[in-house]
Amino acid sequence: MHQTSDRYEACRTAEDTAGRARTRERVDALVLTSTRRKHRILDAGVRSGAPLRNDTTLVRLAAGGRDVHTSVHGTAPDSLVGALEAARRLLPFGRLYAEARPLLPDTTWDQVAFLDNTAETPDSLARLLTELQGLAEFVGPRQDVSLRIADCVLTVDHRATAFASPERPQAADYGVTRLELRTLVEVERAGRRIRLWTARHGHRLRELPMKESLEEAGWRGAAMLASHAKPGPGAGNTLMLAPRAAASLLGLVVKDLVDGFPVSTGPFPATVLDDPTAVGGYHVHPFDEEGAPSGPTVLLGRTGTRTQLTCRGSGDGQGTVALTGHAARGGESEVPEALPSNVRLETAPSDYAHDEYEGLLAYDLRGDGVQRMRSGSCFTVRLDVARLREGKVAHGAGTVVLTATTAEVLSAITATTPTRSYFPGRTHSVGGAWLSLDLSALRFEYVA
Amino acid sequence: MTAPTDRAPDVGAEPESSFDRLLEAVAAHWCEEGVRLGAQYAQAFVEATSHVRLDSTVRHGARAGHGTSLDRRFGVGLLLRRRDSWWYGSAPLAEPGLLAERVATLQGFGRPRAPEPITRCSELEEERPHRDLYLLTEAITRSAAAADLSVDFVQDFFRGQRAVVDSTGAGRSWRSTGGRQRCAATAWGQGQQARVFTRRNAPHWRLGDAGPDLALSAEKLILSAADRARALLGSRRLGVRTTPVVLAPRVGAALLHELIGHALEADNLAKGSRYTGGLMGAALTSAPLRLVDDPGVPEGMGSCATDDDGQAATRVVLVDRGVVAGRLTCTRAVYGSSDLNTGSGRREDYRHASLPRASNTVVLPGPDSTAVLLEPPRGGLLHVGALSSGEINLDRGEFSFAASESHFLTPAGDSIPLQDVVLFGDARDALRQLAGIADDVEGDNATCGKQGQSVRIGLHSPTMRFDQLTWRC
Repeated sequence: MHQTSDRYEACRTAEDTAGRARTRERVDALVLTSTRRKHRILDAGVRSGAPLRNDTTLVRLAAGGRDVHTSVHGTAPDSLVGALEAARRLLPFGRLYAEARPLLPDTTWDQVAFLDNTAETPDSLARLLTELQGLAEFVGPRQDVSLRIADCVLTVDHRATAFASPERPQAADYGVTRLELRTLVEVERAGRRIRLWTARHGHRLRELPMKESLEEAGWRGAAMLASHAKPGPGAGNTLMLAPRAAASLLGLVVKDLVDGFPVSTGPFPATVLDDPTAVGGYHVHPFDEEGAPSGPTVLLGRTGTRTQLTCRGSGDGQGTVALTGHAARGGESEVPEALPSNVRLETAPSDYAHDEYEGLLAYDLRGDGVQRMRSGSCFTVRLDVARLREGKVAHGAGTVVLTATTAEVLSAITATTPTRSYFPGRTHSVGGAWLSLDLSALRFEYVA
Repeated sequence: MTAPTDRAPDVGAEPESSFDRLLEAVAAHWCEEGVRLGAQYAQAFVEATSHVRLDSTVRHGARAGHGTSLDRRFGVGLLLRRRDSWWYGSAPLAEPGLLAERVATLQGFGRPRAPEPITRCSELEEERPHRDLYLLTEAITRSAAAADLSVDFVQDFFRGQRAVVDSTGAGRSWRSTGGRQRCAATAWGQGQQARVFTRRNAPHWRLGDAGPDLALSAEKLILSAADRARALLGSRRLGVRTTPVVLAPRVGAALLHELIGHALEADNLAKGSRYTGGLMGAALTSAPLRLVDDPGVPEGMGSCATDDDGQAATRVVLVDRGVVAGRLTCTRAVYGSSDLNTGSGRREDYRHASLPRASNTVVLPGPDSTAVLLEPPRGGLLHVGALSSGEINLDRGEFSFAASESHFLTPAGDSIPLQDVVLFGDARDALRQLAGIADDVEGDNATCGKQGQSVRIGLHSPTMRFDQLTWRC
């Protein structure tokens, strides 16, 4: 049970670090440990790589109303000696910080719900391949294709996090297992073959949405192998997005909300919810990188009400900040920002059954990378589309180029299913569900 | 194993110190251990870099956020060639035992001896910040308020000491310093918002010298962003068009870096994809395009005398008069072959092995006049003032690039502002459309991503005109 020893070690380092404050200083310490290992699973057997260890200690040094953040690779207590010296020199130019109080009570956190200590056993890995192969045989015929598992890579990342501060001299901690299952699927129809990768993420091997992953390969493969025809006038105004495409679109919406882009007043048919405790969400945590308790927060309500996520930096040293538990490092800076964790759409539950769907299905979304650094309020994405009859791909339908604002996308939602899988980015995950859009409310065009 | 001998001067080079010698000794130690345990080739890269970042956020004229952070990367990376395959491992300098443990897991390898941990500050970190550094934050708030903008401003200071030793006897150590300012400014008006990105870098910017010069530079960046953002308000949507496209200075280098620069990195080229296969020696355009990777550009963001494999960084002509003439290589890419090592190995930090990467992508001045290139034909032309981000599929050669600032110029002299224009198409087709290159070269900087590693690069180019490119707005 290396999780236990990693968490113990993380706690000791965090407590030791927080205890290095001099008189009139305070030191908050967040220790993150990660042990990551890749397993390639083939018919011939399992090839496992060496475990890769990657530990970081994040330190907030505060004195005289200003603070400086620094990070150190590793958890050796002595490595902080130089880092703290360097940080002290920067303190006169540090951030002015406000008083802060947590908005939420301590989260009730199941210490084992997000852990999987048996994912890497030889039995589990062998069973995984057998199960995928069985699902492939089941899912393929539903799209009139045959699916074969050509390659399968499971990455297991055991992570431990501990936080200590003057208020929490005894560190708080939690452990999470992050699993990534990447499958190379060979899709064949009438002697033509293509191979495509599909991936799903989660915490427990038994709970990974493997069937959804292979269904996605089936849609995509069948659409790519089918003949293509531009949708005619009878195609209707409804576009159904498969979970991965829906998550990519929602990712752009979330970025706008976090960046503070103005969104017109609702009503919207869906709520945008951030949930740090979401089952399957890659970025789960009971407390954030500043030690504040985390909990579900409505980013955008149906009436257009927005909740501002906060961290110690919010307010620029003025007043008292109520912490929502969303402090996280954005990637470039060591100063935590207010960032979401796991975001999903919430609507009234839909009875939609995608295996009987008639109409246009968007199985892939391209261009979201290009659209993340925009000047204006509209984004443009390309959706690869297929025409479905009775849940089967009848033919490929080219590409829909969609131009919209965040408010327009949200207003065009007509139905969504419950979120079953999350698609992780560097700082947060976005939930993917079957999502139905009313195209008549959006600007779009079909291209070949 | 020989001690480090061949030292190259670097941008921001300073006399060797005891800390430099300490890093060299650590690199030599790991290299010797790799060889002693039977590696065919061993290379140790040691760094003590420290990146200070000051963030400022101003919303509607009022300061809304600020942050000061220090990102320290003190570590060692060991590259080994064994059984004809590569292995890479790394560890913080304070925990050398971790690297020894990792090496010991290699089949047939023994356990290396670990050197003493290093926990102290580097010499560059001992430099105290200039007492007038606060003027920078004041200038940012003042200028953003005066311009009635929302501004996200980042001031970076980079300072690092590095050493590389390898089993061929090569060994170098070098220092680098410098800084960068980045501004994202948003203006509102006419029912729209317009965000503009501006940036500047200088190798002489140091925490200890940070006085009024930095504040003045920040003010200029913000005011320039304000003018450019306001010029975009009232933007229109024109749908999909195929027209002549003129790229402002700096922009062409960014586009060519993606379209052709990445394809000419040895590892990408070796994949022989539908796009990169047959690229060497191919005539890309009839225009007199000369594209070079030049690590010696004064004030270039990617300038360096030594690459991250410890080799002398050289200027590489990638495209000469429209014909592909060269490629970027690094130690791993040329290992075991007689190919020239261009000294283009770069890495994000010690946790990664180096890859062949660009330093400064430079389009040399051409023969054309900017005024002539900007003359709109009867159907008008697209003038691109800034690109924001882009993607290329190196298998198929399809690209998609977002231009955050553009104007559609008509023969009648109208200039219609456009936001987030997406240029897209096939890279080889696009390059064939290059029709004119002016001589007004300007420089820019960017962060370039490859295989999960980000490095800073320079982008330098003049005004360039393409006869026909397809775009959507």
